[in-house]
Parts: sequence; C-alpha cells; structure tokens
Amino acid sequence: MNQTVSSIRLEDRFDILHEIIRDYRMQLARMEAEVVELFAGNHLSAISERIQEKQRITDLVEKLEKFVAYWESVELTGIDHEHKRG
Amino acid sequence: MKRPTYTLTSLIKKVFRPGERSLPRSEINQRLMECLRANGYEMDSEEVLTHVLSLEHSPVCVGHTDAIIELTYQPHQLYDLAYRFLRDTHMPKTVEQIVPELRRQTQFSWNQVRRMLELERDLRFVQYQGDKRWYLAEWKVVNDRVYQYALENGLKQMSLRTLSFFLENEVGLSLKDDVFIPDADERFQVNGDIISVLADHADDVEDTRDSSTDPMDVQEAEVHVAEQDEDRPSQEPPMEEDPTDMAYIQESFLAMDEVAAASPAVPEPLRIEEETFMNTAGSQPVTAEVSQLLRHALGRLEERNKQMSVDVVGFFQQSNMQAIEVLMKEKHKNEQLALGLQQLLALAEEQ
Repeated sequence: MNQTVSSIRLEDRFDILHEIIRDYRMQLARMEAEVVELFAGNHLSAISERIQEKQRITDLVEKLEKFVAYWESVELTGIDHEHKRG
Repeated sequence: MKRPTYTLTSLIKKVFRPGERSLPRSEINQRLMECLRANGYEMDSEEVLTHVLSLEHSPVCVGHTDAIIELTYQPHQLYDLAYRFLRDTHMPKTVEQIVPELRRQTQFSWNQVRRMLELERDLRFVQYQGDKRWYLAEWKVVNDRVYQYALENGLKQMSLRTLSFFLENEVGLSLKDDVFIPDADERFQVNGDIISVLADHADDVEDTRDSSTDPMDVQEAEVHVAEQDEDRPSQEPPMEEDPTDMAYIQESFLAMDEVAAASPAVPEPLRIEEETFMNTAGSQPVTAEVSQLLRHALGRLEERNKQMSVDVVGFFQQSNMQAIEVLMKEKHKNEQLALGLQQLLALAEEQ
C-alpha cells in the first residue's frame, strides 16, 4: 500500500517534470522573440546574456529529459504500476 | 540666426552627469536625443554617437561590449591646471594660449603638454561651433540676456574695454558663472574695441535658449557667406582652415550636411527663400528618377532589416554571438544609410 502511494507520487513527479520541461521550452521560444527585439534596440550585451541563459536552460532541459526518460522506462519495467500508465 | 552652438563632441559631454564614467548605449542615445532636440538639432542620436566615437580624441569609447559607452578621460594634473587657468581668468582660451601657461607652471615640455592635453576628452571643457577656444562647461552663455538688455535700453554699442564692468554692474551678470560670446552671435558685431548691437534681430530674442543651438545657424551662416551679406563682413573664425583641427572640420561638415538635409522639417518661415538656393529648373525628370532610385534603395535596406531579424534568431539558436555582433554592425551601417537616404529623399522631393 505504502509502495503504491509513493509510486503514484513518483508519477506525479514525472508529470511535474514534463511540465517543467515544457515551460523551459516555451521560455526558450519567448527568448527568441526577445532577442529579435533586443537586436532591434541594439542591446548587444543583453543578447549575450540571453545566449548564456539559453545555454544554461538547454543543458538543464537535456539533463531533465534524460533523467525522465531513464526513470520513466525503469518505472515502466517496474513491479506493479503498469495499469496506471495505460 | 548664428548663435553660440555646441560642437557635437561637447554635446556628448553634456550628456554625462557628474560622477558617471560609463553608460549603457541606450541610455546615452535617449539622453543625447533629448539634448539634440532641446538644442534644436534634427539629427539622430545614434548617428551622432557613432560619429563622435569615430573621432581621434573622442571623449567616449565603446566599453567591453558594444552596449556600453565609457568616458576616455584619464585624470592628469595638466587638465586640472588648465581648468583652473580658465576658471581664474574667466576667459575662453585656445590650446595655444593654454599650453604656455601649463609649461610655466609645470616641468613638462611644449611637446609633452601638447600630447597629453586632449581637452576633447575632459567633460569640464566645451567648444562652440566655429570657435577654436575652449570654454568651461559650467559657464552659462548669456548672449540673449545681454541682447535683451541692449534692446530695452536702446544700447547700440558696447566697449570691450569696459565690458566686464558693464556686464556685472549694468546687466547684473555673474562674472564667475556667465559668459558672453558676441563673436559667435550675428546679433553682435565686433569691430576692434567696439561691439555693435544689431537691432534688426529683435524678433530673435524670443528665442530664449541661452546656449541657443539652432541647427539652422550653421546653414544660415553658410547662406550669409554665400550671399556676401553685408551684415557679416567675413567674420568667420579663421580656424576653419586649420589643418590640425580636422576632427572639428569634419564635425562641422557633418552638422551642415545634416542641417541641410533636415531643413524641410524645421519650421523657419522667415527664411524660406534663402533655403532653396539650389536651382533645380529643368532637372525635374532626373530628380524624379533619383527619388525613385533612393526609394528603391530604402526598400532594399528594409528587406534586409527583416531578413536580419530572422538571421539573428538562427544565430541565437547556434549561440553564435560573434555572428550576431557582425550582424549588429551591419544593422548600424544600414540604419545610417537609411537615415542618409531618407534625408536625401526629403531633399530630392523638396520643391
């Protein structure tokens, strides 16, 4: 019983992680639009900051995706929750 | 309407506030734009900034990125001595007048002083168009007040010898903070010891800007010279031919170009006939063709501008900052080109 509760929560965590990844991707898309504006306003140093920030987010997203892919598959091959994943 | 007008380099100096050593480019542009407008210039701040940045002894330089503009001034006792010399004598001075004084006060040779003393860099010193002398930035130009006083009291002439006494005791000016520059102002005529007040500029006095920097000044001064106006017997300062002052001359030319091109936008009802000093009769079809070509060129620049917005996203995705910098340079150049083309277009269509 305890195990079930904790794995449901684990699934929730995956959902949250998926959501976070989606948000990050949306942020990247927003940043592209921002860069176009910054470019129009001649803010070179701000663009440079955005590039660093983009790098950071991209790295983070990649790591998160690997993490999720790995642990989700582990969970799929897990013991008793296949029915919850449909 | 010749009045004391700051040079562009001096105008940039006015943009920095006390204690500021560097500013974001955008901030400078904003302040400079206000400054230009307040002084009646119709020029684009970015263009002015780019121009001043390109000068040899520019007061400003690009910081570690293009987006930061820094002052180039490095403190040195020579600047302080020069500042004190001007403040104590309360007289504008040319570099040639300042150098001997600094040599007298220090151990530096003439060459060393000449090399080290780049007043263009120090915010405390400013120059006016057509005047080789350096003024202190803290001095306030009070030509309008003097002129007003002369008009109200029916004064036709002033004597240079008693001028400071007259200004302080009659007009009520502060000899420490105010400065009167009759030779850069067409309302006054300096002849030896006598300063004549020309009454036919009575309307101009409504223009209360003290350091009045109307962009029409330069152009009209030109017009006067061209027409050999009797009001202005070759009083143009001799420095315009000084080959050592190329930066200044370039600057003046830039200003004149800008002014000439921007003239349709400046309301100046009294002088309209004088502005159309180019005879364009018979050149109509050619002018139309030129306009069309200019418009086509502007369209191309616009297209490229749009393309660049797409490119910059691509480079951003690749984290290619270098390419973005190159793109930014191209954009600056294109903007300048577009501005120039627009002014030419305005000129071509002005008939």
